[in-house]
Amino acid sequence: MLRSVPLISVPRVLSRLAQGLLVVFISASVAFGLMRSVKGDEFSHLLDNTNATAAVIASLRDDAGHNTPILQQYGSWMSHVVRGDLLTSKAYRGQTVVSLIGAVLPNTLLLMSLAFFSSLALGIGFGVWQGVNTDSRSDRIASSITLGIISMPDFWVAMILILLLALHWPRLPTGGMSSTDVVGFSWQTLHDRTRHLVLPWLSLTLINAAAFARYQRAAMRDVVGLQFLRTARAKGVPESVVISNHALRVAVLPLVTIAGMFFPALLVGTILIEKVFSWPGMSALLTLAVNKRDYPLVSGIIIVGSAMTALGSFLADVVRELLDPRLRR
Amino acid sequence: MRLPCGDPHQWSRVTPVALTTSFPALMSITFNCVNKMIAPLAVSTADTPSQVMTRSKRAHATRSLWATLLLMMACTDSKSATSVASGASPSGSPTGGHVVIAMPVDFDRFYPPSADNAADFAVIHAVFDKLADIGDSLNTIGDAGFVPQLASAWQWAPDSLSIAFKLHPDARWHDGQPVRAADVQFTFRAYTDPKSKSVNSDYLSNIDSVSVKDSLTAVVWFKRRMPQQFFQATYSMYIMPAHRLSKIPFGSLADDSLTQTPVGSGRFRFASRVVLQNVELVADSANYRGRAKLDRVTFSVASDASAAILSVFGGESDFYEKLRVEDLPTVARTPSLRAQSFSQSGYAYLTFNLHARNNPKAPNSLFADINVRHALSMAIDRSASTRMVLDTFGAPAIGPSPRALVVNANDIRQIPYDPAHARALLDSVGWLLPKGGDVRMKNGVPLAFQIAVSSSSQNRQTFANSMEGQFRNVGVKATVRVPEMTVLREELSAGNFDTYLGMFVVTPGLQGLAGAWGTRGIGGRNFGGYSSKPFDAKIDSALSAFKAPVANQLWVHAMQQIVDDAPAIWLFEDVNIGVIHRRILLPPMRADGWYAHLADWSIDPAQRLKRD
Amino acid sequence: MQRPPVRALLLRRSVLLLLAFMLTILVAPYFAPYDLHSGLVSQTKYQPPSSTHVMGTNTLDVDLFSLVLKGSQVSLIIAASATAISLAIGLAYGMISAMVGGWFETVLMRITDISFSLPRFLILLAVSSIVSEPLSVPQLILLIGMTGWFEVARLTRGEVGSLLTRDWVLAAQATGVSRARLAARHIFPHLVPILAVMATLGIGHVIVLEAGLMFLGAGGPQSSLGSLLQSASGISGWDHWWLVFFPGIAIVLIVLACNALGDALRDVFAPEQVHAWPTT
Repeated sequence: MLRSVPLISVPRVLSRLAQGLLVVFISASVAFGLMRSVKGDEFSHLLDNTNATAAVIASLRDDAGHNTPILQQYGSWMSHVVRGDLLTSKAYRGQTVVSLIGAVLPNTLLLMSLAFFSSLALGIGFGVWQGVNTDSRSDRIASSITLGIISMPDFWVAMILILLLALHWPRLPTGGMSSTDVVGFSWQTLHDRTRHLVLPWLSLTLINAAAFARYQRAAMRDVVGLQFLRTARAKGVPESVVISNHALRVAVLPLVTIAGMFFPALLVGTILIEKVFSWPGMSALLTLAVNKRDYPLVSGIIIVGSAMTALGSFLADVVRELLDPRLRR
Repeated sequence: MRLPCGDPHQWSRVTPVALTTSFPALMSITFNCVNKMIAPLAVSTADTPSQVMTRSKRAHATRSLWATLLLMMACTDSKSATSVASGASPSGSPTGGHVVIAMPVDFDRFYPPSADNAADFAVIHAVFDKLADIGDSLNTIGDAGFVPQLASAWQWAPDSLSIAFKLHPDARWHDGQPVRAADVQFTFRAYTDPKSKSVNSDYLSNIDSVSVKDSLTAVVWFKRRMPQQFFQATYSMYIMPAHRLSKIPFGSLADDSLTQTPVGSGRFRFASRVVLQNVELVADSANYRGRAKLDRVTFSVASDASAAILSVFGGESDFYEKLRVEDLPTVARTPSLRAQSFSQSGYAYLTFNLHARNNPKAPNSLFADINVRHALSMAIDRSASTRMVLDTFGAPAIGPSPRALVVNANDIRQIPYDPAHARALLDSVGWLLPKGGDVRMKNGVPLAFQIAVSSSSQNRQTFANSMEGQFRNVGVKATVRVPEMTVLREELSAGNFDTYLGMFVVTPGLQGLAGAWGTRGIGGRNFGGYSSKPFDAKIDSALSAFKAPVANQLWVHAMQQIVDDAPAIWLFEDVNIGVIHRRILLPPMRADGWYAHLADWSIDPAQRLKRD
Repeated sequence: MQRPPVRALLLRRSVLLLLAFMLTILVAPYFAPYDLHSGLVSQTKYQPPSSTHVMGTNTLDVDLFSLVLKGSQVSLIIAASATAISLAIGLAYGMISAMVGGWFETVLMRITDISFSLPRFLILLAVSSIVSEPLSVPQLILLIGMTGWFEVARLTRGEVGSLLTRDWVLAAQATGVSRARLAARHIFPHLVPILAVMATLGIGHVIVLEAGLMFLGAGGPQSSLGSLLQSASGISGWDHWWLVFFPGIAIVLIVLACNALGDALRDVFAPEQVHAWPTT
């Protein structure tokens, strides 16, 4: 292998980073534009409040600066964002956008990362098995099953799971992240958290694992017939070793790069699943923020969402470069 | 304690209304369950003219039967608990236990002057005290029925222009500081200071000031003598700790992070909050009014109403305040749950925009004519539509108030359902059906309009859809429109709509009626712009009556005026039915909020769960 | 890729079968057993599936089977039209950038890279939640179509880029064929297979995307499958399982058909880059 090429090209990484920042900036501006260009603001809900008078609402709006020109509002908002201050939420008074997102992001990440790694592992395992036994009867059945699974909307699977396992045969909770009566840290807490995780995790993992498995199967099938494996076999290396030591190493590469592109899909899936299970994550926060016209919060969530997406594709890029020396130029 | 305004004993409470209309048995709603009886059965049989009961009708009858049984059970249960008085806590019912209440939305903050949603009020009501709380009868005249809270006694001035509230000497804030008269004074300022932009200061507008006579006596001074003075001084003012909040200027108090961790003097103290997950309250064990009976209350936040109901069905929560008709079979099948009816003091209406869209000066070309409004009212079969949408959970409305709040509701003459008359009336004022057409025209203008309805309520959308066909039946083209909620609010307040199907929740004593339908509500919640001097005057005199029977009669006059003027079609009122775990013993429920006596909820010791 | 003739025939037959299924969905609502506006009169809401209502009835006493037929049609129309828009824009964009080349190509591709990284679903959700009226079918089609072409552009450009290095293209260029003619006559026919695969997979993808948006409460056409699921999600409890089950099954069947069709087409034409993938 050529050692003269650096492991990662610095300019390329920098340009990818700049691109990521640009993406975040554009998303934030789009979010701001959206929220401020539609009718209504965070005080609209007071209009049908029994007690609030029109004068009070008008002066609340004035105080909040809603009567200044939109560009000026954008400018002042952007100057805050650049300084890393996402302002105070309008829906949750007295709380900053950063603290709110900070409070719920870990919940979303917990669900996402669990689903990500387990579906990656399951997908690779299943796909390799299929790839090795390619075109056998069991492979064809398995392929039909994975095709069926990826054709299901994940939130629908989640609803069906609730109907079955939380209501009809009540074994697991219908939603939430923890029982209110289990506090502190103990085995009981862990057990309780796990019970709450099972259904959301399952609905997310099922579909993504099936998608991974299909990629892995295709990759594996392409590799199994390759020349160097035939050579290994000819040299008398046992088939299991051929698969695990040689074929797998090559076949997993495309999957790793795909895993980066996987992020947006996983994010969307998580948003939907969170909604079904009342999971206290970014989805609930976004819904609330949109309904209450809380533009700092909506923008904040979109900034975080796009940052996660950008980070995902950036990492995928880096990994791809690391794995494929031809790209390092 | 001196009672200045007539003899309060004469009418210590608003009595529940006897219902005579054919259907609305369940509407008996309120405070006593005796009225909640056999009617749903009567409904289902009355609906079945033929001898042959079809499968579906049988299913319907069964459901109604369920509803009845459930309600009866609910009644017995709450009756057995009626020995539990509200307010000052008596001994007798067991203490301890943990109740989980499912909430359909997350909380905002717990700052009484700016609270604007029921969720926040549920917490505020538990953590903070008022000087005195309104009685279960929701009487607003004089101080009859009011239950002492922070004020252990009060004294009216001879001219009735001030009331001296004597604070309970043992009252303590949850941080241990004693409650002082200065706190009352501070609270009044926090509510009414222009800088604090409180949305809950409307009732305080008749209060001139609060002075501190001594550390335990606060005197509330009024601008003028009114029957509701005592109500005004107590109902919306939750007393807040000056020592904790006074350092922060009024302008920024509402948005301060202190509002996230309230410190009050109520029988529950605030324990913790996790955003989008829950709020925890614990009993204030040394409270001057006695500790809350439950050890702990958790408000558990679900992503929406259905998720909240699901969490009760799944056993994770114990209570949710609003069931839907279709949930009843599940409740009936679940041994640990029962349905509990609550008074719901709201009504739905279809208001006509009496002015041209976007031009409040010009009259509306369709609805300015009272004959058109009458004809449109006659075109709608409110009973049938209500039954279709709400089954036994509702009744046709009688006017801008639920029956429960108008004692002589049956004296109000309603505009009858009469499509033939509606057609004749429209013909007579020149809205004629063109040959071969199905929409009436006048001077080239079709009798067509939009019904705006909020996307938040499935019931109201269904009701609107059912009206489309009934209007078509008399040659009127109505189109249902479901704008996004916030947009709708903005359009309404700008007068940019034809008709709006909305819902008002009524405040005790119909205090809000003038703001909703009176001239002074224009620019506020009187979206249609109805302005009638006789109506305004009649409301005013009803609110100024110091004697209940007089007031009751005056309310009927006011209602009759607005029903005759038909600025809106009064559609339906709905019964609120919640679902609750059987082990919870409830005190009588108050009509203005299920949470009113939360501190007196208790757990049947024989049925305790692990979490209790 | 050479395939045994029997296999190819089988493939062709299954392709035809799936296409027939799609066509059936488009016309099925005209043969629905019940009128969608027949409700609002009787007291027969929430009937479980029976011989008269094979999928039961909903809140408004409307036959669910008829609703599902209508919903499938609406969802399929939305998905097919939106995918067509995405394909058209993406194809044009990708071809132009590859054919022009140079810094122009770099800039155009950087733009698609960035647009592709925007959180599309979040933005779509925010837009459709705050517009004043529920989106109409054409609006929704435009919205989804206009935001779905980035990947198409990227793949097209890659494909065209590699075609441009082929001998026959170089030969054609040497004989002085104009760029436009080269694109239309020589390059485009080679893109048809990959476009066909992208189209079928894209349709399935958009159906799930639209359902997800509607499920999260975005204002949209009342009749699509997503809206049916959304209103079913408001019905709690096991008692009305059919309202959740059948619209979902309809989605699964349509998407499965799209994915299977896409797979079959890929097996025939073998553009390996394109895969079925859950919602993005």
